Amino acid sequence: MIIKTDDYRIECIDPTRAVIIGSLRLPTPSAYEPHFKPIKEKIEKLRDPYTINITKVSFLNSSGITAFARLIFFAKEHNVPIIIEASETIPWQEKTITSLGKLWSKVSIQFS
Amino acid sequence: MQKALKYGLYNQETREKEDPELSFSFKLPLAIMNKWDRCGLTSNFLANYQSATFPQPEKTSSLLSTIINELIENAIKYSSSADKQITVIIKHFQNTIQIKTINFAEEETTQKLKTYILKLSENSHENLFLSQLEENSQREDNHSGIGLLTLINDHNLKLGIRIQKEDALYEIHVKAELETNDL
Ligand SMILES: Nc1ncnc2c1ncn2[C@@H]1O[C@H](COP(=O)(O)OP(=O)(O)OP(=O)(O)O)[C@@H](O)[C@H]1O
Ligand SMILES: [Mg+2]
Repeated sequence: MIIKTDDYRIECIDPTRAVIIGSLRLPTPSAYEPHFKPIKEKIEKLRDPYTINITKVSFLNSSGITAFARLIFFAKEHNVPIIIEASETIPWQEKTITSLGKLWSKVSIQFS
Repeated sequence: MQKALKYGLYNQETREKEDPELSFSFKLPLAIMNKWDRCGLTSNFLANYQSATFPQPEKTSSLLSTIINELIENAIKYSSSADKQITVIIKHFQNTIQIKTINFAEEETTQKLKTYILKLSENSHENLFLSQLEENSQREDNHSGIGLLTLINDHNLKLGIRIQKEDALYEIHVKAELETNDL
């Protein structure tokens, strides 16, 4: 499934991996729900780790960070480890993603 | 006139006396900004403009846009519908960039802001960030309460909030300052 608007796209065709690209600044956490739902549906079916690549996400606002945290809690409920591929050169990712990693011990972050 | 309630930077007003090297003020009509993607557009524009002279303009612009966007989103989200516009002010002093928003809020909204300021004053910010997210995952609340925290925690900036009653509404100033040496 590919969700695409002018500002961003979310690709999750691969059962173990999603790629998010662009600028995500939706007005509320719940506005992210329909976009993250396909990712949740993949996680639900897994035992193995699920990878989320955000190396090309230039912006994620605080509502998006909350929605992303909910995604991590969802994975925790299903005990599916999460691997986040992030970029050190994008200011919001460097610190905030590291903080999100502290939500659950089975979140690992790979910076490139 | 009632005394203003102040938090953080507003308890140390020294900076205001200095002359800024660059300063601009934007009035943004709520009628336009209610089209939500204008928040991001405006933030990107202001950030690009401001970062042109820095050694790493792209990275600086990205950081500034992140900060400006959080403040503008808040100013819009928490404005009273009786208010017609918000103000965004950016000033560049010798070693500091200051970003400020002004909006008018209802009594009830202002009360929430006061409660939030109390939380900020009484808790470690990192613990607060994680506990807000934990709390938020339990309920489908649309006020996640981590926007300002991410700015303070992750982007190393100083925050100030000033609340002043103006007739039936409250005038809210939110100010963020970051050192240009960090850019
Ligand atoms: N400009 C403002 N005017 C009035 N109240 C504000 C303003 N900015 C922030 N607040 C209050 O402070 C609280 C914290 O703001 P913050 O941006 O951290 O979180 P949020 O907007 O609730 O959620 P999010 O994490 O999605 O940004 C808000 O819930 C709101 O009550
Ligand atoms: Mg906010």
